Amino acid sequence: MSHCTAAGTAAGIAWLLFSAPSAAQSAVPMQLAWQAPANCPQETQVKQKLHDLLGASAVREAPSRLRAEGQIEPIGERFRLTLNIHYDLVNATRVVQASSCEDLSGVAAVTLALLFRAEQNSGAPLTARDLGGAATGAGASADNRSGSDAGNEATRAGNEATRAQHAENASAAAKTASESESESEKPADDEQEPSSEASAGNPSRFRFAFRAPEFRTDIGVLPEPSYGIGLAAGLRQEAWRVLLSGTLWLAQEYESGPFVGYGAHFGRVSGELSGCHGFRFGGFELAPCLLLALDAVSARGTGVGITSTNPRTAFLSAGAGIQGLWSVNRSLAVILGVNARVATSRPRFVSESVGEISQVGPVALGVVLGCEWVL
Amino acid sequence: MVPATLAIAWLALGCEPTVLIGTCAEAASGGTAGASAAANADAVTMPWSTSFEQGLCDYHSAQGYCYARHAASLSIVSSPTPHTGKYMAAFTVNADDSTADRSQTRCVRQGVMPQTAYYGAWYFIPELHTSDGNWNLFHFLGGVSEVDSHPLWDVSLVTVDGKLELYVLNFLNRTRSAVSGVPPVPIGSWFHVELKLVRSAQANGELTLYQDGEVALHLTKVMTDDTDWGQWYVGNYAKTLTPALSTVYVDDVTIREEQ
Repeated sequence: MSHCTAAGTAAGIAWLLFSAPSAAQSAVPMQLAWQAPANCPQETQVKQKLHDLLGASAVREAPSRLRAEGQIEPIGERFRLTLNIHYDLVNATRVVQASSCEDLSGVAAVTLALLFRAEQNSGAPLTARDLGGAATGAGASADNRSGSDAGNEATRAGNEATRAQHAENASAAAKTASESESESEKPADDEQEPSSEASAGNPSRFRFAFRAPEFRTDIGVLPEPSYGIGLAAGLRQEAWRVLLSGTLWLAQEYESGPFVGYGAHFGRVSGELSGCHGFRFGGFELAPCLLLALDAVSARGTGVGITSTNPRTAFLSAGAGIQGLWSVNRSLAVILGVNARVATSRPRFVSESVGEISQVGPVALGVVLGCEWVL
Repeated sequence: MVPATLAIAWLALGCEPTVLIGTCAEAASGGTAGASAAANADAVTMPWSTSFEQGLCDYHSAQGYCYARHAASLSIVSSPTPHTGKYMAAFTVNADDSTADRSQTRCVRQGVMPQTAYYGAWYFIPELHTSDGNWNLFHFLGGVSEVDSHPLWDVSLVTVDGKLELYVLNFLNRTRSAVSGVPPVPIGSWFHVELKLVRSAQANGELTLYQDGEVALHLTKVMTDDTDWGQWYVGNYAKTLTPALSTVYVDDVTIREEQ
């Protein structure tokens, strides 16, 4: 599609959006401030169009972290839209010019609707690229859109939809806009029965997440530092995640202090239930976690004259940690976390003739490195 | 569910449950105990012996124990050549007099000691050390229990004319007796040390020290014990040695009625 065609398409969508403003104003799931000349669509109308695009159920059920300020200014005989978009600490500015301020209002609504869907349809946070399509970051803003026209912006909106893997593509978005527009002519119906497109765009709030592989190390459980590999599975809901993980640890041979040749062969598996809440900073997320772990340790006493049935024991520990997640893309994040756990029980591993070989420490400190996949 | 149940069970049992991960084989004897071993758990029965073929289990099975403190270590080894069997005990100390605590590692038999018994062990000292006089091989304690105990007798090594000789220290009258009629202990070969103790709380006891079967010291009309209960330590204990790091090997420890 040429830029001219795209410009025409966007302008057409925008005209359709605002040619028959809805009679009823509805809430939108994001903060939007709007300034425009008196002869242009005002904040109420822009929000109404955004509401129509998203559907009522999305508005009710899915709060957004997006915020935006839009301003339309007359530039000679044309108009310029400056749309500042914020997602947590990520900021971007889009500047679009067109001959019609109605077109620009429509572009703003479509852009925000697409970003909202991208946010809701992916477990990963939005990035500066998503917001502005150019290099922007936390605390920064970019104004490199001067000279864009409404058609180019529509093309950019289409690209955004493609990047948001689970969101509709640009044509679907345009279709949604069109259908919403047609429905906006019947506001009563729209309020009570959201369009099928809007329903499809309001995905389940829970997403399946799993981690594989997870590499772990800790101290305080076995006598020497432990190294393990495991995986985890769980659910994400917005910034919350609950995961259940399992880890198989490398076995350890340990000799107790002064009795050379006497010791134990330790085996260990563990499970961990963790609940975390993430705070996003662009593509990075910090997530404090609470966790509950169950360790199962087997130990076989070793040494001349010693026999063993390789007994097992299990104990619970509870603790907290913090994880840093760096989003590689919408489905994959790299995780690095640290945690500390307090054991509710401290088994003593004892061998006859030499006494205590080892005892579980009161506190275990751990590090985890892995990949998180969000479906 | 099963892990959760296990976890709750552990919580219910207490904060520091003991998990027995190694046990001494039931037939821990080479450590041969007398037929009356089970008759009195507090009595040190005869004959008893260990050649460490079951590690330290012969001591454990006889209500004894082994320990290592203050930079000392104890291991069961097969080299250099044991006196008998496949294994022997290696007692290693770091006798550096800069430390306040004596480096020591020994194995202990304890209980009501026999009225008359021969306490013996084979020693192998691989290299010559200079001793300040407190390089202990045998140690006897008396008392009501280990907590309430006091020293009775030592059999130790002292350097005389550059060579190591045995001597006996009587803690009850603070006298020290040198051996005679026997050569210095050999370096790099096994030698046997055996002490015959005829116990008496009055002054009619008897002590005889044998080195490789030869009488090295004979004391009569002595008070040997002032209590029935006692301990016998075998191993390595040193205050000051040059060089400081010392390993002595021990094999075939015995308590017997006859030589």
